[in-house]
Amino acid sequence: MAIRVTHGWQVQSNIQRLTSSRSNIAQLQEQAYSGKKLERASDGAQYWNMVETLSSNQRDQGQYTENSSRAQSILSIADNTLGSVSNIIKRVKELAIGASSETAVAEYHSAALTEIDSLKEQLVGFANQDYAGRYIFAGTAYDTPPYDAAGTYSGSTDEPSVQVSRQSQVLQGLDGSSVFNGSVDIFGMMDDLSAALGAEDADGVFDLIDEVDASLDQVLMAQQRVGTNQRRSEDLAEVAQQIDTTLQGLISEKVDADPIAIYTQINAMQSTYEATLQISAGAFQRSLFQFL
Amino acid sequence: MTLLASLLSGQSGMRAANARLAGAAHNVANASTPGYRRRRAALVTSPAIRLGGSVRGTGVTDRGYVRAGNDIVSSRRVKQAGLSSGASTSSRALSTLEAFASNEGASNMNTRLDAFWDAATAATGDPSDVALRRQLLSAGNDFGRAISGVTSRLREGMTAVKEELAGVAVDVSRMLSEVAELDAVIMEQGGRLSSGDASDRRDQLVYEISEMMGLDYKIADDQTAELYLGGHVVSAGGRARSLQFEQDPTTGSVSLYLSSGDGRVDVTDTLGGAVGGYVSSLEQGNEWISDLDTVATNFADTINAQHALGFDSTGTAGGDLFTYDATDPAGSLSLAFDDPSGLALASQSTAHAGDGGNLDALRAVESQITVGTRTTRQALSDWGSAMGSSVATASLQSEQQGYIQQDLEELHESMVGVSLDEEAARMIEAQTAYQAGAKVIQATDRMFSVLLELV
Repeated sequence: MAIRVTHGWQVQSNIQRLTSSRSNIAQLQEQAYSGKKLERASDGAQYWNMVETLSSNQRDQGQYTENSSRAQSILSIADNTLGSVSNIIKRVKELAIGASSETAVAEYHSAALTEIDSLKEQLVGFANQDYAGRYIFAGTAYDTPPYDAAGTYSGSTDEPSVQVSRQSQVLQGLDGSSVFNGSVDIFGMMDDLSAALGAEDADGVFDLIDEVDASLDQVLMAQQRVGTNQRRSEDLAEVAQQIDTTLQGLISEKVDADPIAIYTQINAMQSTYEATLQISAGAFQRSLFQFL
Repeated sequence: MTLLASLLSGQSGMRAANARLAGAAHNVANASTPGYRRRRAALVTSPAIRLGGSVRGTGVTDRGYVRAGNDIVSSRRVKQAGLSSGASTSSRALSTLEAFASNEGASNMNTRLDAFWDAATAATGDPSDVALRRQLLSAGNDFGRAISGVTSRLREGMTAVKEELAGVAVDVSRMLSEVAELDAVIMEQGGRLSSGDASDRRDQLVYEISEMMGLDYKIADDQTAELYLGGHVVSAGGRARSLQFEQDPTTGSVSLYLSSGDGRVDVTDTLGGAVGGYVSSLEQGNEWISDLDTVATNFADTINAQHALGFDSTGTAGGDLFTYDATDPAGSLSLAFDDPSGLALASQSTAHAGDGGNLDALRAVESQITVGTRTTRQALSDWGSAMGSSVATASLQSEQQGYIQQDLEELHESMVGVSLDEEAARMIEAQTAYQAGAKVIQATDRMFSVLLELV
């Protein structure tokens, strides 16, 4: 026997169908407006944790890239400065070789002396090189110039570094004392050279040439460290960007709505809704009462 | 005398047809009345009379109306209304709480926490930089505000739920009192022989009360309703208890009691329906806040301990970086100071500008701030995920209970609802029967006339 379909039930089930269709359309429209299918955790609780973790990692990568970029600027200036310092030392060596020659005359010594003193001044200037007020060769005490005019170091022997990945840090400043006053005290060597030139002591100048070479090695070693950190920073920045792009793709897959799929679904839902409207209206128009 | 029997039968047939027509008209008029159960005329064959050696029927007797329906189905429907309403209320309330939390930025908590740690990472670039220190403080402040904002919004949502709950308890008590009054009327009208109007109204009320608090329901022999909640009598024999709402002014926890005279029984954990749904959503909300409390205290305590080991820009040992009220940690988490120089990022009192020793140590404690076995970030992700999962599960349960209710409603409606086609057919049937009854009287009258002419 067929189940009795009553007037009240027909009305109620039609209302339910219409409400359900409207609610589905509204939900899809919300996705279309926001462009997101995962706005609240309940929209996809199974993905929420994953998306949060990926987003968190992505935000970290952004900061690492920024830190790398800042470190690269500082390291680039350090590299250029150390390049200039090595040029000065090379010039010092030329002057020392010239002055140590037996044929060198007093005028040459005098001129070399003047130049050496001037080069020392330049060297102190380079040792106090800063990046936007931050002294590159002051170690962690980078807010004050590390060297006085005599070449005495007042910076820190700790070197500042910055985080460029979860596990890695790169240098963004050097301990000046290890660069300029390491195994060879470059300023002391220049003072000695200056004194030997002043005394026109060709042998004394000659004896200092080894120290000049050692000074150059010392600066080149520091430059090499800077270069290594620069490359590491660049590599890690690139990795951070690649990770960022990959994470963005993964997040987008779970969070962003597919506009084409949504518009297609909205159209399908609207057709269902219109059909329900037509059927409902038709069903209520007819009853046996019309024939009484 | 046999002619008289025919006359009586014809007359009773017309009366019965009239009763059927009136029944159909009543049904049509109440086709959309909530709680109305269709009626049909209760007709029985009139007692026969013995005439000489034979027995003659005297037609039909109208015994009033019978209400359609089945008590077992009605009882299941009422119980299911409680289950379904409980599930949908819980789903709606949790979804509202989630919306409250989301609008304030539930996912924002993790974003803000990331921003705090990222600001710490940025500060490693120059621990003395006032702008970077300010950024770190600002990010810490934002994280505190995010977590306290979500907590406050959750509390606001829960307050709204409690207010709704208090209102529902008042409505339920009023409706229970109406049920008792209607039952008294039903008893007075004589139970089954009553017109059924009071029963319709009473049953509709019982259904609505069950939606509000969840009930077991059965009809007693005298047609009054017996309502139970977890074994406790709610209403029976024309007497009803009331539902009392109480809120602890200190803790804010709510309790509900079934009360009658001086006695009362705590039914907070027994209640179903909307009230039960509200109660369970409040419990869930409290759990969410408690989880955030754990995150806030672990975070602040661990950071503060490490911060105290460092030195600020003036070489002074660090104090607390975050502060909170122990009675509401998540709702009150905030920065202890706003002066960038107060950040104890250095590891030595005679710190150089680039001494970020304690900053590195602070960054290292990130992985040590755990909630259970999870880091703060993971705990906050879990928190959001668990919240979403609860809301989605509640929505699914609501949908499932809705389907069961729909089936029962369909079954119940098919028994008690009014079909206009059926009523139209019954009207035609009654009209035809009425005409036939009239013809019987007419024929009997003619036969009487023939008989009288013979006299």
